[in-house]
Amino acid sequence: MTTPRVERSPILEQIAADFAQRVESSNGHSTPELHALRRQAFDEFQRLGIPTVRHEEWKYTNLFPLLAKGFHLPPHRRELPSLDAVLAPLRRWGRVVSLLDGLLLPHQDEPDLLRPLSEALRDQRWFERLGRLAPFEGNAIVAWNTALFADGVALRVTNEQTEPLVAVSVLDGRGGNIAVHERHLLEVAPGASLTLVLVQRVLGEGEALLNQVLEGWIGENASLTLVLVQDAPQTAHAITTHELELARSARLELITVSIGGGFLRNMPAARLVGEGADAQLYGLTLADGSMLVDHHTTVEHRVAHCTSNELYKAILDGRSTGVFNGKILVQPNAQKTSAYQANRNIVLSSRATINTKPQLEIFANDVRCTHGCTVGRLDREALFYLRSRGLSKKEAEALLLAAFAEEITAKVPIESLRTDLNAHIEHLLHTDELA
Amino acid sequence: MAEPILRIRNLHARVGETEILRGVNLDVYPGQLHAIMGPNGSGKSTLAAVLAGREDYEVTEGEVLFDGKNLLEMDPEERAREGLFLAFQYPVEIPGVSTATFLKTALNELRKHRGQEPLDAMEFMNLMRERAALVKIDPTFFSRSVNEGFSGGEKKRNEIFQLAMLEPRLAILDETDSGLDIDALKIVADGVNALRSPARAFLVITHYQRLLNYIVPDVVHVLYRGRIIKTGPKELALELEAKGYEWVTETDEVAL
Ligand SMILES: Nc1ncnc2c1ncn2[C@@H]1O[C@H](COP(=O)(O)OP(=O)(O)OP(=O)(O)O)[C@@H](O)[C@H]1O
Ligand SMILES: [Mg+2]
Repeated sequence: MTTPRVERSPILEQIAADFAQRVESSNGHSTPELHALRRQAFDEFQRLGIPTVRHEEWKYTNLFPLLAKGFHLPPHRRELPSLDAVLAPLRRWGRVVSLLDGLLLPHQDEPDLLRPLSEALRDQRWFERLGRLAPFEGNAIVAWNTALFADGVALRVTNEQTEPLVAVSVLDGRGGNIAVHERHLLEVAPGASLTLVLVQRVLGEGEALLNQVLEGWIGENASLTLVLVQDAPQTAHAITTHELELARSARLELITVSIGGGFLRNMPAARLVGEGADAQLYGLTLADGSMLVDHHTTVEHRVAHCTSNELYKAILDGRSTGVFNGKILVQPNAQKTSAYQANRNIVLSSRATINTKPQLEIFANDVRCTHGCTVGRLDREALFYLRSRGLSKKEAEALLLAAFAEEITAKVPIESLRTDLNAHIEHLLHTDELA
Repeated sequence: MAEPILRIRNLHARVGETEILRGVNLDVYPGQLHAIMGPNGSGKSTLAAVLAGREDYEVTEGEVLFDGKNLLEMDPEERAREGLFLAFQYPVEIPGVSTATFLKTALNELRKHRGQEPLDAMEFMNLMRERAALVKIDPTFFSRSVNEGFSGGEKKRNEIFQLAMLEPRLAILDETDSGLDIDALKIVADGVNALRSPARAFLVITHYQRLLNYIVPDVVHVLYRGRIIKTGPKELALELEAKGYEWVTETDEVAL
C-alpha cells in the first residue's frame, strides 16, 4: 500500500461540506456514539484522502474523473416522488423494499424482516456490529460511507425465506448530480436462508453515485444468495463494499451482473470463518462506451475445510475498461482448503481494455488452489460454423456472446430475473456498439 | 441436360505461400451424388472449405458457379442461404448455444431469404422431431449445447440432422463416415439416401468404399495434390479399394 496522501481539492471541500450537512441534519436524530463514530470516520477519511491511481488497489480505476462531475448530498426532501413506474417491473422478481436516497420508505412489502438502520442502531447489539466486518480504518471508501451514510436497513432473517427480497436503491437525480451513501447490516441466522437482490435506479437527468456498504453475517448452516443487478443507464455509478462472514457450513452465492451504468466498482469479500463453509462468487461484465467495471473480490479462508469458487466473465467493447482483481487469502490454519478462481474475458474493440490480476496469498500448506485467466476474441471456428448455417456474422457473434454471458446469469435462482437479464443482454448485444 | 448446380473451373487456392488446390474442375448436376476420394492431405477438406467460404484460404484463380451465381464473392452465410451446406469433418462444439436455438435461428434465416414466414414454435418443434427421427437423434439433444460433449458418432449424425432441417440445394459431406461404427454408418447412409432428390445434389468426401456401398454415387473422383486426376463411375471406388491410390497417382505423374 502506498502512503496515504491528503489532496486539497474542490472534491474534498465538497465532502467536508457534506459532512457538516450530515452532522447538522442528524443532530437530535442519532445517538452520541454514532456521532462520535462518524467524526472518527471522517477524520480517517481526511487522513487517507481519496485513493488515487498510485494506490495499488486503485491502479486501473481512477475515481477523480468520476468525482470531478461534482456530486452533492441529496437535498432535504419535501414530497416523495411516485416510484410506481420504477418499482412495478421489480415486483416480478420478489418482494420489494425501496430506499430513496438511502432512506427506507414506509409501507414496505416486508416490515417484519427489516427496519431502518438508524432505528436499529439505537439497539446496542446492532450498533456493535457496525464496522465489525467493514472497519473504516485504512479504507477511505468505508470511512467516507461511515461519516456520511444517510441510512440503510438492518435486516435479520431467522427462517427460510422462499420468496426473494428485492432491495432497490432509488437515487433522485432530478435536482442535479447526487451522491448517496447507504449502510446496511444483514444477519442470516443459523439455519435460515435468503435470496436478496440489490438493484439501483436513478430518477431524472442528474448523475447519481451510490456508495453502498453492507456487512452481512451468514450463520451456521445458513445460506445467502446475493444478486447484485447493475443494469441502470450510464448516469448510474456505484461503489459497493459487501463484506460477508460465513460461519460453520454456511453457504454464500454472490452473483454480480454488471451490464449497465457508468462507473462501477464492486468490492465483495467472503470471509470463511467456520469449517465447512462454501462461497461461490460469479460476475458478469458487459460494457461498452466509456463504461468502467471493476470487480475487486476477496475470498478469505480463515479455517480448515472450506471451499470457494469464483467465476468472473467480461465482454468489453467500445472504450470500456474492465478490471478483475481476485484476492484469495488462505490463512495458516486453513488446511484442506479448496479454492478456485477463473476469469474469462472477451475484448471486442481495440480501444477497450481489461486488467486482470489474481492475487493469491497462501499461508497454509495443504490446500488445493487454482486460478486461471483468459483474454481473447470470439472463437473463429464457432463463428464460421454458425455462419455456414446461414447466420449473419453479427447474429453469430451475438449468439456466441449471449452464450458466454448466460453461463453467469444461469446462476441467478430467480427465473423472472434471469429472463429479464438475458433479454437485456440480448438487446445490448444487438445494438450497434457491442459485437 | 439441365444446368449444373455447381460448376468449378480451374480453381486454385492457397494458404500463405502453399498452393493447395491447383486447378480443380468439376460439374455437379441436380439429382447427382458425386464421391470425392483421395489420399490424406490431397486437398479434399480444403475444397469443401473454399466452397463453404472459409476465410483462411485465398482463391488465386478460377471460378465457381452455384446455380449460375458467382459463389466465391458470397459471404459464408449467403452461400448457406443460397442452399449450400457443409457437413464438417470436425463439427465445432458451441457451449451455451442450444441445438434448438441454433437451428431455429438458422432455419428462419434461410426461410426469410426464400421469402417464407418464420416457423412458429410448434411447427418448428414438429419439424425437429420428424427430421431427428431420420437419423435417430434423441429429442433430448435439442436442448443440449451444439455438439458439446457429443460422441464422435453423435456429432456426425447431428450434421446430417442439420442437413435434413435446412434442406440445402447442395450438400457437401466431409468424411461424415469416419469415426462411425457399422450401425451409425447405416443410419447416416439411410438418412442421406432419404434426402436424395432430383432437385438436390451431394458431394461426398470419403476414404472408404464401405460408405459407397450404402450411398451409391453417380460419379467418383480422385483428388490428388490439389487436382482431380481421375473420374469414373461407381466402380472406380471399388478399384481404388483394391489397388490403392498408387495405381492412379502413377498415371498422373506420367501425365505430368
Ligand atoms: N489452414 C491451413 N494452414 C496450413 N496448411 C493447411 C491448412 N489447411 C490445409 N492445409 C494443408 O493443405 C493440405 C490439404 O489439406 P486438406 O485438409 O484439404 O486435406 P484432405 O484431403 O482433407 O486430407 P484428409 O484426408 O487427411 O482429411 C495439407 O497438406 C494440409 O496440411
Ligand atoms: Mg479432410
